[in-house]
Amino acid sequence: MKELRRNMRIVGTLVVVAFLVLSGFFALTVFEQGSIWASNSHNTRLSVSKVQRGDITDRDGVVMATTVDGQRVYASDTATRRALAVTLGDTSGMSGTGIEGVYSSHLLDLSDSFAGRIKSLVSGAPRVGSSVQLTVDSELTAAIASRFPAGYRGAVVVMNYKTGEILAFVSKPDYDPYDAGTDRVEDTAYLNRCLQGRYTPGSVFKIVTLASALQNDPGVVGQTFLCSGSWNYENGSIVCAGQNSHGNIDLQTAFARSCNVTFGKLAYQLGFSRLRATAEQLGFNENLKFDDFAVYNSAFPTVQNNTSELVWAGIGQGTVLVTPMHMALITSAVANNGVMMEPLLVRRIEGTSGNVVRQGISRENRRLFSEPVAQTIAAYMYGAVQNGTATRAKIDGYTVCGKTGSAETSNDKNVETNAWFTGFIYDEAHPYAAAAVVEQGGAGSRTATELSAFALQAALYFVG
Amino acid sequence: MNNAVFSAISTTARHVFWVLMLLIVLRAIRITLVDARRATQLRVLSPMTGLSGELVVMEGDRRMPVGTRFTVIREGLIGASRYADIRLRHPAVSRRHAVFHLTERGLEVSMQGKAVINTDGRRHVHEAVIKDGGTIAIGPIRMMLILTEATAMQQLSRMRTDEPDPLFDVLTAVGEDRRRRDVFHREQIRHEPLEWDVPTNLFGDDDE
Amino acid sequence: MNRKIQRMRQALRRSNTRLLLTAVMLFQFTSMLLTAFRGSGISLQCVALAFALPAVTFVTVTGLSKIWPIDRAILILVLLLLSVGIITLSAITKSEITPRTQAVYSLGGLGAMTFGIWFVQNWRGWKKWQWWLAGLCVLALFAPWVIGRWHYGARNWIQLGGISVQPSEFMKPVMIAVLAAGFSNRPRFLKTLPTIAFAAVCCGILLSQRDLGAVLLYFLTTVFMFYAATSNGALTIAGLGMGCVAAVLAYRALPYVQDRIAIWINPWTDPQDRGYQLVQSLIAIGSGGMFGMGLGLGSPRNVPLYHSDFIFASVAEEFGLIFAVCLLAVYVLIILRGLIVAMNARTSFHSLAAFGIVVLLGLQTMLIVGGNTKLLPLTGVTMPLVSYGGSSMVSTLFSMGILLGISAGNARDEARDIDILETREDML
Repeated sequence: MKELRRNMRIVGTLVVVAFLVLSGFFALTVFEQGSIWASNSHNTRLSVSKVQRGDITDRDGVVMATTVDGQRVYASDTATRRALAVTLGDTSGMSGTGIEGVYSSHLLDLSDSFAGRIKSLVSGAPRVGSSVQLTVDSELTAAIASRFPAGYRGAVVVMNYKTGEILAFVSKPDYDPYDAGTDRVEDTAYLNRCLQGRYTPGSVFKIVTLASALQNDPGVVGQTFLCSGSWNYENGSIVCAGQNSHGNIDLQTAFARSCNVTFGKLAYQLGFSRLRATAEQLGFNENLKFDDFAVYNSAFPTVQNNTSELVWAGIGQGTVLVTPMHMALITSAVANNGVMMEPLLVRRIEGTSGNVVRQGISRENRRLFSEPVAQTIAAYMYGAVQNGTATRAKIDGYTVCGKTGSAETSNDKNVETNAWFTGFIYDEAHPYAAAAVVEQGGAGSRTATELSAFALQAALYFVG
Repeated sequence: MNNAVFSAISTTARHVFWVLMLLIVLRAIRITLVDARRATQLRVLSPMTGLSGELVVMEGDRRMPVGTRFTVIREGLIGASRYADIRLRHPAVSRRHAVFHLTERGLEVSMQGKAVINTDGRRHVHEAVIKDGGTIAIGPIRMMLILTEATAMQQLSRMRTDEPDPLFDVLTAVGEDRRRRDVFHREQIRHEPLEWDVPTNLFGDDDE
Repeated sequence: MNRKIQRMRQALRRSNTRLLLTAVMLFQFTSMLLTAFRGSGISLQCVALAFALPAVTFVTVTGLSKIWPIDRAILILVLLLLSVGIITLSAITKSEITPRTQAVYSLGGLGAMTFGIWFVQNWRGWKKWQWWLAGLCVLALFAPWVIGRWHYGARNWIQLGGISVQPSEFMKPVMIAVLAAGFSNRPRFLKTLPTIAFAAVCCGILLSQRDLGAVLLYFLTTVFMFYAATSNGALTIAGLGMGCVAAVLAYRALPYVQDRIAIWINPWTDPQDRGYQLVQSLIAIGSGGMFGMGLGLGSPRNVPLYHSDFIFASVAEEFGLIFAVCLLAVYVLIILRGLIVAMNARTSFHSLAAFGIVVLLGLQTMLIVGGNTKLLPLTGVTMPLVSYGGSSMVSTLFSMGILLGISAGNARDEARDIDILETREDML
């Protein structure tokens, strides 16, 4: 019996201690999080001690979202409001990537001191959460959104490639945040296509193929390619767009003119494993998780089933998928001597007493290309804007580099290609990069290029 | 009742409730602490619970002298270990020698491991039942089992008739002489019946 | 020596519980009276309960302790828990039927408790009955497959006459009795195998019925009682290990387990659908704050789940965080006092039975509090004595009765011991 007692003492103590620990956790959690839970939009009660959601401002301090009398208030101008909706999100939990949702714990954050909390507990006054300052420019976002071709879907990303700051997210279709949760919101409008839209890249993928070629065979810069409009390989063939035949061209011209035959041959020469290795080095097949947000993974096939797949993958067709954000990051790395910076969306989080809860710091994420490769690609992209497919991207007084893309997404001739453009301004003082995709927008050299050119000019104007 | 009035009353009343509950809990904690202290006191004063009898050493050796008494409880362990309820500190006894429990048949003992027990003449390897007055032998130690109700009544009756009682001699062999003499000089010997007698004051006897 | 005996008699005396009883009765009266004025007009039922609750409490405590020397503090705390359940239900439900049914179940449960107190003190042959009880337990647990129906995703209810009964609740005391009998007298490992097999069979049946909470409770209780009885640390850890392996397998193989875990990890992402209950529970607790929203001022509910699985959240909402923590303290006190009872028991059967009852109570309460506050996944167990539900209430009260009966037995034995000591000293 003595043994029994001893064992019961041990187990009993264990159970009681576990119970006390659980109760302690419970009490602590409720003390800390209670008002945040109660501030949830699904709360149907009239509660006295709610936390007032903090403000969201843009990089210039313009208030994009604030709380007045317990109601969430957004920009008064409808167009601006709709343009910013994808970045800001909503408080009903509909948007998965919006700041309101992802940073709700900060917006409702009790960054007050313990004494301050007790004081407000006793006085019953509502507490105010921290305010979040983003890196985006609200005017820039609104301008690009209004310039987006009406009736079309797609996305535009503008960022600073030296600091990694996101200057604008535009995603169409958009919605009015006041309509969040109702059926007035268009299907898929809550999606942030910049981060979550995976599109066939088409010719913008040639940047990757080019990089792979330069890395594996530096001599390829001197090589001459023959393009007769089409090229047959075993079991298939590849044609250039618009039945163009480019003749004898070097690599730079092939890139500028976006010659499918050349790049198909390059892919073939490289072989599947090397092309795939480069793609994965650039972040394909990887869930890109950054501190401020996560990007859906871009896809490059992991097994090669036949030659066609390889050849067409070289020109960004087939099962290759990429998000606009990823494209912008790759382009930014090209502009930044091969180094991809960590993308920043949150500039600063500040508590009610002015204390800085978090400060966004620019830092390098990883090196995507070696410096010479990056510079070569940049030069070729300059060539594309000068006398290639991207001439619509020229901006007076600035050196613009870019690449167009027209991605076929269907065998149906009536379905237009997705129009792509990705490019940057080569200037230390104005280090802006942009990537744009217009779903079924036709030729990339037109729609997407014009849109991106506008976006970069607007960045020069609004951001400086 | 008016909604607003009820709201007001309820909002004030909620402080009454948590205070009351807190007081209840504190009082209950106090009571439990006192009870726990009393329980340990009791344990200290009387380490054995469920007293049912005794094992008295009739034959032993230097390490286990004759006349040593071991209290028998209702259920427990015989052995040399610290956690044994009947602790026989002797090399002939294993650490966990046997498990016993008291039934109507007597003391049922079941051996643990390879331990062995001898009762009146017979050697047991697995199980044994020892009746009141029977003997257990482990190695050089021989003990007699005396169950309580029987003991006390026996004692009383022997007292009155002055019959010689070998058991009585053994039992008192360890006491002081003076104490033994005192027994006969006691004025009163309590003859209370052996039923449970529990305080009948419903709400407790003290006030702390 | 006389002094020693005197001190022992003193140590045996029971604490004065008068103040405790008065405080509890006061609480019952005032809170119940307040809920009477919640709606428009006065609720006669609530007024009646305002007088009935303290009256029943007083009668039960004084009456039962006159008959047997039970541990009064445990009884008072148990009645307190019952009252909190009835009061909270009166405050949050729109219809009056729910608290009324709860009160009726409570009365029935008190009857069962009284029976339990008497029963355990007069039952001798537990070893003999062990396998009959085991058979009863297995049959009863299996019954829902035969005459039961699916209910909230688990098939563990049966209909008897007009009442729904949950065998997994009713069989808890039976299982503890079987385990206590099987593990008594410090059996060798081989002798424990049949008992362990019995426990395994029960867990298996419950798993097939998707009653996750019950499986967890039965399993852990068996493991702890096994360790207490046999001191075999190695085997106990092996048993726990096997349980973990089984849990992982269950997670892989059974989609509803994966669902539960997914909702647990993030109920906020799907607040309209499956995570809804949990989100509302957290919102309710948060709204309560420190001191509660006030009786009757919380969000009224008629969803049955709130009366059973989420009653704790409702208590925290109406009465506040401090009150809720005190409620947990009441459970801890019952467990502590129950452990003292287990330690003082004379036979290993009674000791293990008291231990098992108390451990089961503790584990069950931990599971429900964890589930309500997202610290653990929801397992569908109810809060003992507070939750709405007849099976759970009656079976828990019966277990409490057994515990009280054991405490009464202890008191008797203690007094007898002192008498024996006294008599022996007098002999010498």
